[in-house]
Amino acid sequence: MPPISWALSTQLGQITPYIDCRQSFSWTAALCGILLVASVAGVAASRVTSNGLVKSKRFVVDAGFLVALAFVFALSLQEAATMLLDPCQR
Amino acid sequence: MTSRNAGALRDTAFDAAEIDRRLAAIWSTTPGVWGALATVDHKVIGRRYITTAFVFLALGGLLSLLMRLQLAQPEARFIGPDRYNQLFTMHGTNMMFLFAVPVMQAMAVYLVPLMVGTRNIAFPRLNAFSYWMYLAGGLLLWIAFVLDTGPDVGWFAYVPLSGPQYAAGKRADIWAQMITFTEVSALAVAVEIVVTVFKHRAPGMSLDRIPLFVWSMLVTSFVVILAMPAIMVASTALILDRLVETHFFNPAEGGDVLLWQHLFWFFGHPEVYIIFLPAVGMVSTIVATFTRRPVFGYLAMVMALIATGILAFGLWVHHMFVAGLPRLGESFFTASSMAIAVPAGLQIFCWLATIWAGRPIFTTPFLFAIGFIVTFVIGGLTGVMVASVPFDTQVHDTYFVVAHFHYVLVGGAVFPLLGALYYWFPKLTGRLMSETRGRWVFGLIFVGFNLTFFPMHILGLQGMPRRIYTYQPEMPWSGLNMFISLSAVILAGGFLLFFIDVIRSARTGAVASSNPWEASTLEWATSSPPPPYNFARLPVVGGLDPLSDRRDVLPVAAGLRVDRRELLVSSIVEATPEAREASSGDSIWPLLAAIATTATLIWSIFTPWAVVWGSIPIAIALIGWFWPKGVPEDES
Repeated sequence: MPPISWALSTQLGQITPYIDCRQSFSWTAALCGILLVASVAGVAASRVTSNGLVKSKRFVVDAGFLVALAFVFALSLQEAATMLLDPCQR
Repeated sequence: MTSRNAGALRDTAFDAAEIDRRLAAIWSTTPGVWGALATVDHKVIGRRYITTAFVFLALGGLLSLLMRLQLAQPEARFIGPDRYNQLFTMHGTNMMFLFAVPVMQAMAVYLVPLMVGTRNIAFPRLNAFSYWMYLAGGLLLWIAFVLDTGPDVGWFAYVPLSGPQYAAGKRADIWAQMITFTEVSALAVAVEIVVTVFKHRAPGMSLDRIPLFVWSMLVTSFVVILAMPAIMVASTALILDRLVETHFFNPAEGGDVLLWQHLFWFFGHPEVYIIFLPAVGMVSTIVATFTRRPVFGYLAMVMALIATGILAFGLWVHHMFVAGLPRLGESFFTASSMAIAVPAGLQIFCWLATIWAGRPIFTTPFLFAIGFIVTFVIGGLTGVMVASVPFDTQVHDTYFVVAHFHYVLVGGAVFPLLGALYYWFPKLTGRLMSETRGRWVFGLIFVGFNLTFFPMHILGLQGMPRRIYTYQPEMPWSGLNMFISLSAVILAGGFLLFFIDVIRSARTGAVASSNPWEASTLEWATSSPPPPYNFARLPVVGGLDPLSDRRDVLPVAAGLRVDRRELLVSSIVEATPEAREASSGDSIWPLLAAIATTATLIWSIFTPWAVVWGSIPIAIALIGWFWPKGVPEDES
């Protein structure tokens, strides 16, 4: 979930600033925030499902969990950027 | 087992000597020219790939020396602007497309089947085809350069400079079509490695027991598969713009110039990680062997490899910070560029922790690993600097960026690669490289590299732009440029000594045992160099380091046939055996298919009809390649 959210957010970051600049509502911040929340939920879900797995499958889930954390961090930085920058600035 | 195969000869029926004899008869390449052209042995093809890539490295290095000769003094007249444009384009194109990516994949072609405990790579004929395509692409580029038709549009070939309006002649077409050759080759190898790692691992080698080098090549292969189609689409669109007057990149007719930059860098930035990630695997292997302990944080290392591989696709716009995109959109790529420092830092931490907790033995491969860590950290730090929009805007297209990416690419890939060559040379040739010469090589290259490239940071901050063929004496750059050019001679001396060491060691080096470093991964479980069939009996893996407990006898699997080339197919997660599969024999068809494809691709630079008529010989070659053999390919 977090890698997909991050990819989506990164792509939307190329599209929504143009819309934000014309409107008063910050779609970039809102969409990035939703994707950040979804990512955190995905990370939490991976912890729940990892119980009771055999060692090799648990390894896959644990690796996925750690990878997901990196993307949550990237999304957090992106969300912070939406609060700092003017979407009309080029 | 089917009744038809009830009488098949299996290894359970013979003693070790008889198994060796029968397997050698089945798996050996036929002696002579025909055998050399038709072989599908991953070791032969891997060695060819590595040798060819290092020839291209030497040629690319000569080009850089010519550039340094030209820039040593202001207003030098040694090389004119047109030739200089070709030189830096050829240098970049050669190093990225003909050396860095192919050599990393070549190491995998040789090592991955050995490290996962199988007898050949998946799709061995495709592997042979990929090498011939790579060689043809390299020859195309270099022959064009010798004929004064070498590309002169930079390794990135930005439109409109590479478009029909500004790049007359065939130079840009040569660049674009060379891309097709090398990317077809790289994609083929990537597919082979993914399938080999997922389906041909030795029994017991579950996902949490895969060596880190194999993990790194698996992630790299996925990055190749996802990134390289973008540049193939872009270069094909460029050829169409130039040949049949389409308007993909012509704004006057509805095209978009920035589309090129997006497509190129969507490939171009992951390309950096395609080169870097295998180096991570190499360093991890070297550090583990020469500290006599497993790498600290195996799970964290795997996570870092995967995270880097995915994040690599969200950084491309940081090459376009001065293209006029919205600042908010750019900041998203700054965020991802900062975030990728997390897995990179994690890797550095794991290596340092391994060295800290281990008993380091300072051999040549280990010295290169240490040199890599130092150099890559410097390159990584300047990478974080140029990921910042305000800083990047100031140093864009200056020598600061040249310094940065050479620290990342040479420090991050060439140092580990040279260490890997010293480390795996016994497995490649059966002989050890000279430790004395190796230390000299490391010293010269490490000192020469830093003296050459560190001052370029200062030159960049002083405002010296990239890609200029000369400069005025009034500019404050001449002293540093002379210093850099002299330092480049030290660096070149190091590489010259390396090549001498390789040639001498291959002929007269000390004979290596099967495991001269007392390493723990499976490639060291067979002789140096390995026999054509790799393993007489396939090993069974019981842990992350199958050779680390120094058992005299490695558990092996039995029951494979000895009267045909046969591999074991295993499940993805647990590597449980699922089937026995026939592996392709030697064939001339991959070479013929590559010749037909080469003729078509080169011809298509001149006329679109080449695609129509060229498809006929390609189709004939493919029919010959895939002609049914009348025997089942696999048995459960």
